[in-house]
Formats: sequence, structure tokens, C-alpha cells
Amino acid sequence: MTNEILGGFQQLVMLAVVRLAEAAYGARIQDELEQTAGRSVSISTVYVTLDRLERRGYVASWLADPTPIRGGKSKRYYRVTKAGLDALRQSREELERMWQGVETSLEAGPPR
Amino acid sequence: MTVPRLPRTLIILLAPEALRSQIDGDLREGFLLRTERDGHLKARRWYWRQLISVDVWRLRRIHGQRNRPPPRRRSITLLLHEVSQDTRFGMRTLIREPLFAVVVLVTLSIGIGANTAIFTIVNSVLLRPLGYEKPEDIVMVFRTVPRFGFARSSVSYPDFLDWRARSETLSAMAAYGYTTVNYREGEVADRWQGFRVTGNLFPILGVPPLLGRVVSDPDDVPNGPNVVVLSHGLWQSQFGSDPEVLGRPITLNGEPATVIGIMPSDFDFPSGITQFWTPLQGDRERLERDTNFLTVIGRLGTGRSLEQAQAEMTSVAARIDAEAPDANRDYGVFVERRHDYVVRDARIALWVFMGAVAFVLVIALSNVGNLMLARGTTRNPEIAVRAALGATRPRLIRQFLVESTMLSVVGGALGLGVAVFMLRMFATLGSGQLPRLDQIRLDTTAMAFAVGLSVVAGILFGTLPAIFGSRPDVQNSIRDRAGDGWTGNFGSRVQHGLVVAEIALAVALTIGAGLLINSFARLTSVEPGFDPSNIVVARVAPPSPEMGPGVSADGMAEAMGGRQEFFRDLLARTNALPGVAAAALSYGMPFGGYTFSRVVQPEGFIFEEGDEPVVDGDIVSAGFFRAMGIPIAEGRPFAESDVRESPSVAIINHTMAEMFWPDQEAVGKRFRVGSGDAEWTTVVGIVGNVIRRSLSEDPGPSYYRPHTQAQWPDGMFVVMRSNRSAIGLIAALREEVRQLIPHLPVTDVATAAELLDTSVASPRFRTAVLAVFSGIAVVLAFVGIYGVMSFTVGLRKREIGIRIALGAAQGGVLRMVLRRGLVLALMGVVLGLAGALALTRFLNNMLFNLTTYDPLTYVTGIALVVVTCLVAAYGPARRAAATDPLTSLRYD
Repeated sequence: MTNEILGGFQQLVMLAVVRLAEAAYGARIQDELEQTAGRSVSISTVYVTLDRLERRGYVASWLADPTPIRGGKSKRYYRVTKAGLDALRQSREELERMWQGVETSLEAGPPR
Repeated sequence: MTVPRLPRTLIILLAPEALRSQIDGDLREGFLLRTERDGHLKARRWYWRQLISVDVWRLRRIHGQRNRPPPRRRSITLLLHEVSQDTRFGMRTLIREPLFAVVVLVTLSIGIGANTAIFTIVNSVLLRPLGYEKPEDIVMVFRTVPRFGFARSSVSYPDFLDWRARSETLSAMAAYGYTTVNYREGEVADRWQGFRVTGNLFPILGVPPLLGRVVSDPDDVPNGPNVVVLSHGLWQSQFGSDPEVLGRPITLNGEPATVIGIMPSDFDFPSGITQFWTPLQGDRERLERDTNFLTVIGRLGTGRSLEQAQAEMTSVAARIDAEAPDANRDYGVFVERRHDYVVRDARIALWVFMGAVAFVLVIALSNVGNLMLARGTTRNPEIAVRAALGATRPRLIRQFLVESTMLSVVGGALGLGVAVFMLRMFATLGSGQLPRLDQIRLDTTAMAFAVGLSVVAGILFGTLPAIFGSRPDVQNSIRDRAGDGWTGNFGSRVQHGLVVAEIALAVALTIGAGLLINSFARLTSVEPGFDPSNIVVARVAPPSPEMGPGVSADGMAEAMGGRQEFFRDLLARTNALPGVAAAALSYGMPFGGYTFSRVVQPEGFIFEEGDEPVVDGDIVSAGFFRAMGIPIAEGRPFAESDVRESPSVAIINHTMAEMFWPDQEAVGKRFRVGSGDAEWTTVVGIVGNVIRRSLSEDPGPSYYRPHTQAQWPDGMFVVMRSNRSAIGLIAALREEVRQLIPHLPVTDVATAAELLDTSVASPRFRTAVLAVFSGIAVVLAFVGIYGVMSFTVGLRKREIGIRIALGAAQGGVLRMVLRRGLVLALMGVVLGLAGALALTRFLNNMLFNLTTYDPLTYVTGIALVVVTCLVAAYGPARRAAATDPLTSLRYD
């Protein structure tokens, strides 16, 4: 499972869940993506991605009690699993390896 | 600072059940957060964006039914299953409330049916292209005579040839002229109407024949072959659709002729009356420039515009005028697309109809919406039970939507029936009033229109009740509502708004229809100048093939002798018929056609050439004025002694006498007919004015000449006034004609009353259509206000009970409810009045002798609607006043 490559947006969502620690649920994840990553996404996209990650075992979720600000609606909290953290780390390493030496080329422009 | 209701409902509907509550909560939280951070407006926009970007299909695939094992698959099959459940449930509830269902279905079917019918007509008449090859390039080319105000005049053969030779913008130009022939085979004699056409007419239209061939250039030469192409209708009626008729010799005007082709049934060029086409075979040498009998049609060359053609033809006409100084005719040219020419006056009328039925539809939908809303509220207990048993709100909303869609689909199906019926009515009532009416059919476009309308209607009037009705707290909001029950919750405000809108539309429609009715009444009360009762007319045209256009004056005079003798005999025989009180002959007939106009030169007046006055003329027998009931004011009628050899005499009408000899004795004055040096004609009598063409026209100047002194190109009307039913005389007339000339057809049979009636068929048609629509609108508005008042009174039962218990008089309660109805009505009236003022200007050129602001019509229309509203409110008001305080207080 861990050799499956994480999509870019999936990484962003997982990182948001990690950053939010104990407070990771739909509305907060959506807001975190907007505030920190500058990605304005719809709630349905967030849930579709979380569902996919959950089915791959990268995140886990549980229902929590409703709160008044939500009009009495319950919320589902998410956390990143061990497998999720491994996948995230692996993705980052892959990316870092790939980025090595690219900065200079970017500055120099394409080879002539 | 609440979450926007509409997107929230929609998102809840779209979201899968498993996530519904979480997403709702997340969005609410996100909305509040953004309201604080970015302000209300941005937060709202964000919320709407969430709705727009809901990824339904992918969301639906999430099936982590974490809490509720076993997981339910929300598949299409399940959805269909649930919808069919909803449908069956809806059917049962509707059957339990048959009155509700019937009212809704009738309302809907009328709304949808009327709209489908009118749309079908608009589509067939205005939108669908004409059935020719590249029809958008086909244009009409008319001669205009600005001096007489003629915008679309006939063209002479030499002019047509010159136009055709010089035009470059038109790739082809053809001409056609009306003609009739007498057909005879064995004992069968009939008169056919048709057109003489140039050889290139059919190629321009590009319509192939059903059988045989069309008229082509080789046929169209002077003294060419005597051939005819038959219309499908004539082929059926006269030859029983026998294909063997092709090539068989038939007898037309006593000469042998050959049928060369049959056109398909939908080919009706240039109009539906056409029965045959025959080559024009024009002879330039014999047809003169002032014999205008042709209509010209052309095809725009590739890439040429109408404007280019118009500019070119105008200069061509000017050049021809300059080159032929002998005929200083001072005319112009008007180029017009064939389609525009065909639909001309129908365009505005049809759009007015379309607007009117759209009003009817909106009223119908508001009514149904109101009924559903009211019913939704009364269904609270049922909804509450279903919610308690676990039905989710989306499911409840869907139930409402399914029911309303079901109603509208059934209503739409019934509406198609209504449309078919209305179209049949239109075809009868409107025959001759609308172009292309025979081409109207309920085709797939119209079907699609009806189906689309039904579905949209279902969703439209289902949405509001669904949203309000499915809210389980409605009951509470009603009971707890403090203060004025009339303006209480949002739902009832919507209801009242809908009723006000309905009343407004009904007022606007009623005023519009009222204007037409008023105008029609004024039109039909115009005196035509003769007494149409018990008069029957028929036209007889003895054959004389040598008398067409282009026959020399001598030939004409020679042929005239026999013709006059025939008519003298016929008149004597007709006068002797039992039951005939008075018989006469006339060339033209008021409202019956065959009118002509001539230039006249009254003695002592000198007019610039081309500036001579033009007056209507007619040729009549001595007894004409007596038979028609036209009063002779001065002088004498024509006499037997007015013959060819005696001095030329005429009788003129009041207008002509006033025009040339005001304040003088007109009898004894002289004038010349035509612009040349014709013989002087002496006025021997003055008769009352007679309207000839349209009741909306002032009778112009006109003169009559005795048939014993005049010459005319074809037949005459036999006018018979009887002392009883006139129509029985026609058989006797036919027999007399048969004895004089066997197989001579008797045509144009009509009573004078019919002719008069036909002349107002067009305004009557428009008036009837609009009156029917506005009648429907008023009835629907009645139903609407009745429903809403009943409903509101029902809701206020408790309050009214308390009032009565506290000593309110019954009359007071009655007045209170009626006042309520009146307030709604007046609000509607104000809006409707504004609408009427804005919209009735489209009726402007349909009105006769009436402005679009006619106060009487407005007052009547408004009064009608207000009284209707009060009557509608009276029933519920009386029920309210009769409220028993004890029962109503015990009610809850």
C-alpha cells in the first residue's frame, strides 16, 4: 500500500489534518486549506478526498458530539494513521530527491 | 445572520445521507466563521459557491455508512424505487382528495394547453421557414405608388421584363397573375382559380412536382402550349387523385388543354386558394405598361442583402421611368422578404396572443402553487408522522416534488388534448385570418414544448410548497403566531403575493380584451350604407377567351355586345323568379371584391398630370340601388333608356358630390373617366355612401355607370333581394343560367350579410381569442382568491372565534374578511393597471376608433375583476362570520 503515490491534493489534505491535530474535521480542514495553502476548495471535494484516504487506511475518523455553532449537527474528526504518516513521509522524500538540482536549472532556464 | 435557505436545502438534497448532517454542520460553521471574518455578503457568496461545486456523483460514491450497518447503496435503482414509492403514495393521497386533484388538473391543462396551442401556431406561422428551397432568399418585388399610398401594387409585364433584365442583386425574378378558367367535362362545370406564371417561377421556388412536371420556360412563350399544373386539392376533388389525368386533354374555357403535373399537397404558392398554374405566355408587344396585373417574386443572389436589392431596384425603377417619358407614372419599388410578406399583420396579433397565454399560464401556476401550499400546510399531521417514523426532510421534499410533477405531467397530457381542441377551434374560427393556418399541426416541437412546460411547471409550483410544507415546525409557527394572522409567516405572504400577481395579470388581460371588444362593437355598429338583409349574390362569367388583357379596344367592344345581351336576358329571367323582390347586376360588390378605381376629370377642374383624383367605380344595372337598399338622395336611378347610343350617364355618391361640387347642384355636372379624352359623362343622380372594402374605412368618392353603357372584362354579380330566405334562390338562378349557356358555372355565392360578416372576421377572431383568454384568467383569479381566502379564514378560525366570543358582530367579521379580499384585489388592480398601460400599446393598430387609454374600458375591466374578487371572498367571509366560538375554541 505504501508504494502507492499520493496525489498532490491528497497530500495537502493529510497535512492539514496533521496540522490541525485534535481539531481536524470538515469545516476546519476546509478552512486550513484555504488559509494556509491558499486553496479554496468545496466541502464536497474535501469529503471525497478524505473518503478515498480513509479507504486506503491513511486516515481514520470518529463521530463526535454535536455543538450549537453547527446547528446541532454532529461532526466527524479525522486523524492521520501510521500508514498515512509513512506515505506522507515517503512522498516528501520522493519529492525532495526529485527537486535536487532543479533549482539551478529553473534559474538558468531550459538547456540551449 | 442565518444560513441562506435555498442553497442549504439544495445541498442537503444533493448530499448523500451518510454525510448530510456533517456537511450541513460544516457549512454552517464555515458560513458563520466567514461571516465574522469576511462579512455577510462574502459568506453568502461562499455558501453559494459550495452549492455550485458540489460534486454529486463522487460524493454519492462515498458509502461509509459508518453508523448504520448494513450499508445502503444509494444507487439509481434505489432512487427509482423510492420515487415510484412516492408516486404511488402521491396517487393515493390525490385520489383521497379528488376535488383538489381535479381543480389542479383542470387549471394546469388549460394553462399548458392554451400555451401549447398558441406556441404551435406561432411556431408554424412565424418561426418555421416557408417550404421552399432556401426560403430566406426569396423576396417580393412590388411597385409602390406613393401618390395613392399604395405600398404593394401590381406590376405590368413590360416593367417586369425590364426589372428582370437590369437587376443584378436578384439572381432570378419571376412573375405571376391571378386568373380563373371555366372547366368542363361532360355534365360537370366548374370554375377554377389559379395563376398564370412565368416559366422560371417553379425553379425559383425549388419545389418538385408530385407527378409529371412543372411549368418551364419552353411553355412560357406567346401562343405556347395550353398546359396546366394542378394543385393537390384540385386533383383530388376534380379527378379523384387519378394519375392518368396526366397528359389527358381536358377542356378549359372551351379550349383543349393538357395537365402536365400535380403539385404536392403542402404546396400552396402563392396562397391556399390556388388550384392550378398555367404559363403566363406574355406578349410584350400586346401588354402595355399601364396594365398592372402581375406580382413579382425574386431570389437574392449569393451574398446579396435585402437592402442592396431595395437600393438597386429603386434606381432601376427611376431609370425606367426616365426612359419612358410618355408614361410619367412616378412609382417606386418595395422589396420585402416573402416570409415577412406572408405573415405581415399576423405577427403582432400572434405575439399578443402569446403574451396573453403566458399570462394565463402564470396565473394557472400561481393558483396551483397556492393550492399546493395550502394543502401542504393542512398536511402537517401526516408530515409530522412521517418525520417521526424516520423520513428525512429531503425525502419529504421529494415527496412534494414528485406529487407536483405527477400532477403537472398528467396536466400536461390533458393540456395536449386541450391544445388539439383549441387548434381545431383556431382552424375554424381563424380560417383566412392567419396565414399558413393549414400548415399548423401539433408537431414534435410543440410536443416538446408541452412536455418541457409541464416539467418546469411541476418544479416551479412544487418548490415552494415542498420547502414550506416539509418543515415540521410549520404547525407551531401557525399556532404561536402572535398578532395579525394575515401577514404572519412567510408561506402566507407568498400566497398573498401570488394572488396579487394573479389579479394584476387578470386585470391587464381583461383591459386588453375589453379594448378589443369595445373596438369590435364600434366596428360592427358602422352602417355599411346598404341593407344586407335577405340579399343573396352570385357571380356569373360568360366565357370569352378573346377578352383577356391585351385585347384591342375594338375586340373588346365587339365581345361586349354579346355579353350585354346575355346579362339583359339573365336579369329579366331573374326578376321573374318567384320570391325575388328585386334583382340587379353589378360588377363589384361591397365586401365581395371586384372593386376598381379610376382616375376622373370633373369638368372645369384642371389637374396636373399624375395628380388627377382617383375614385372607386362600379358598373350596375338600373335596379341595383333599389335591390341593395341604397337611398337615392337626388336625381334619378338608371333607366332602360340609358343605352349605348344615348348620352353617357353616371350616378355618384355623396362624398364625390361633396368633393367636386360642394354647395352646388351636382346633378347635371359632367366628368370624364380616365386620364384621356373620354366622352363626357353626366351625373344624373346622387346616392348614399356605401362602404366597399372595410368597415374601418371612410367611404371614399365613387361613381356608378349603367351596364348598358359600360365595358368590363369578365363576369357580373347577380344581386337578388327576396322576401324570404334568400339562399333558396340560387338553385333557381343556376337553372336560368343553364338555360342561357349550358355548363356556365355560378360562383361566389354568398348572402350580403355573410360578406359583411367575413369582412370583420379578422378583428372578431382576435377579439374572441383575447376575450377567451381573459375570461379564463378571470375565472382562475376567482379560484385563486377563493382558495386563499378560504385557507386564511380556516387558519384564523381560533382568532375569529375569540373575537366573536368577545362580542364581535357577525357583520363586522364579514366586513373584515371582505376588506382583506378587497385589499388584495386593489393591490392587484394597481399593478395590473400599470401593466395594462404599458402593454396595451401593442394593440394600437388593432383598435378602431378607440385609444388604448379608453377610460370606460379600463373602469369596466377593473370593476369586473374587483367584483369577481369580492364575490370570491364572500363565501369564505360568510363562513368566518358563521363561526361558532365554542367549536372553534375547542378545535385544538
